[in-house]
Amino acid sequence: MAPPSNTFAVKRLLDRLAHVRGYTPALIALAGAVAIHFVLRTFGMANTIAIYFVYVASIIISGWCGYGPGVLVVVLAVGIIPYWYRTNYSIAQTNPGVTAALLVISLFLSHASAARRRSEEDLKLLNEELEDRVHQRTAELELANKRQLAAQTQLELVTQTVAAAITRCSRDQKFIWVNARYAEWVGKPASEIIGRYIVDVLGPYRLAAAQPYIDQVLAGQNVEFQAYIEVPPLGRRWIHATYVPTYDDARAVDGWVAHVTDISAIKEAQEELARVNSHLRDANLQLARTNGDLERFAFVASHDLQEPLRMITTFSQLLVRSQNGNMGKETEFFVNNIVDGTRRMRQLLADILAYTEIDQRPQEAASIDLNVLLDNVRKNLAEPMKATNASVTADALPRLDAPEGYLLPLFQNLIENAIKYRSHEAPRIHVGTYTKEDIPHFSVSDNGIGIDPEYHQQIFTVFKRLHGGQIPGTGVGLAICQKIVERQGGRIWVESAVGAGTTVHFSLPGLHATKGGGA
Amino acid sequence: MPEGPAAKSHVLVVEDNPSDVYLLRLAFDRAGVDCEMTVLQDGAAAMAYIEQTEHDAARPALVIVDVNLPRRSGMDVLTALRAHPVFAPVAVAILSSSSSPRERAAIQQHENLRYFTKPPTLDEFLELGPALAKLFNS
Repeated sequence: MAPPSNTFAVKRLLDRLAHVRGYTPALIALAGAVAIHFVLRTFGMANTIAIYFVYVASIIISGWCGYGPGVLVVVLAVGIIPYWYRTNYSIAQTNPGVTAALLVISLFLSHASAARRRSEEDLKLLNEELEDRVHQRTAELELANKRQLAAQTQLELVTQTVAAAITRCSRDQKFIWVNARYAEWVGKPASEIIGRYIVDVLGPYRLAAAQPYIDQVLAGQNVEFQAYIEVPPLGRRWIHATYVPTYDDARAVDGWVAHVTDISAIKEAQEELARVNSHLRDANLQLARTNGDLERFAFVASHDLQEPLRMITTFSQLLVRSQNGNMGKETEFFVNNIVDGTRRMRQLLADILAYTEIDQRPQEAASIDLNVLLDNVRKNLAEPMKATNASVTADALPRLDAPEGYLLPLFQNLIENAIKYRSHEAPRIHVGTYTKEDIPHFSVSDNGIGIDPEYHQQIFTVFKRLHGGQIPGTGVGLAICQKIVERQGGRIWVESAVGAGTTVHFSLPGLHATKGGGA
Repeated sequence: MPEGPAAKSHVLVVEDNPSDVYLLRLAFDRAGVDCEMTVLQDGAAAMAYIEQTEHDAARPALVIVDVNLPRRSGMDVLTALRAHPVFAPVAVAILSSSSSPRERAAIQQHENLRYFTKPPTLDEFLELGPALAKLFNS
């Protein structure tokens, strides 16, 4: 170990000496040279030869220590040192040729050494820079490697965990790569798939099914298709596949990537939806037919049943009349009950007829002044109004473009109800009107017995009645009102409580309202 | 025509319901109207009868027609009546079991014609007697 260490130390020393420059070392070196010159003289060397030693030394020193120190040393060696051993020495005695030669040589040497040193330094700097770059590049490469690895891991993670089966195949129809799901769907480990021909892995039948799509993708097209295929671990499944071509460096198709997803759930849902829709359509059609049949039936029945009823009534009365009072009170009572029953039934049939006729009535609209219409209602209801001492007041009502056949029964039924379901007080009925969201609204308020909120919905159902025999009625009036309002796209509802009177509101959005004539 | 109060008026009735025919007779009786009724029970028979009538002597004082008739409707009968020289001037009473506004509007466009809804009670039906008698051709 010692010898290499020593060599290294010597080299380091020389290296350091090579770097020692400036005036002080130059003067020290010159002093040394002068000392050696004196020693040489002492030992009998001729003065002229010894002095050359100083000259040579000064030249070497100048090459070593740079321009300034070099010139100084040469000048000292030529012009000053001789004073010590020559008497009467003057600068004029100096040999100008030698001095000039010395100076030229010294300048040349110091220039050459400076240039060498500079190039050495340049080289060193260059080396250092190179080294830096190598370090930097290495670091960059390491980082890139790390990143690529991370990206690869991520890609691997994604492709292996994604819910799609993915494979890459070559132009000669071999598997290059498959993800875990693909292997799972094929039913073989990836190692038994990759590198093999598709036909060997999937069999000729399944390849044949995919062949048209493979041909397309190899022709450079993106292919997308759905198919119902056998997936060994799952059975027959609906799949959606996308084939995308891959290219080599010469931009020629060298294979494709296939992306296959299981869309059975979506397909089944779609089929189920279509099935349900179709059923719904059928059911709707059936319902429309049934409704139509029912309405026709109700119309015909209520119309034709009137006839036998009329016979029963008339001939029962005739029976009593023909006996000229010989029939006995009891029999007469029976017959009166028959007549009364048929009268109620007749009313019922008339109401059903009115209800079913709403849809069959022609709908020619005319401009109707509701104030006039209300007067007609007052006339129609004059008898019960007089009997109950009822009053019907109203806001200034507008004109409506509507079929009169709709509006009259609507208002008349509501006002009739208000009279019918009165409290012990004389009925005070008010017809109001207001506009909400640009839609004409109306209200019919009374001070009657009111309706329990529990029944606010069902009172609009046909034949639904809250009162038995004590108040006559068929339970059709409000159903007629609702049907009329709903035919105009409106809504009818009740605000009421027991003992607090009732207000029936309804909207008629289908009808255009203008200011009433008041005539 | 020399017709005394005792002379019987001739009334042509096109009505398929015997009960209504009975009630019509009763209504005329109670009103003291002495008339002879020719009853035809369906539309086709009525139209055949109208076609076969040639002489003004056979012209009735009134024709009563039910709207709903078997085979041919009351409207067809009405058209045939108006087109026939013997029956054209005769007043017609239409009896209907329904009071459909549409039907009523269509029928009321004819002249010399009254539209009646068959009344639902005995008393109202009997009131038809005098009302119909007023329509008799004098």
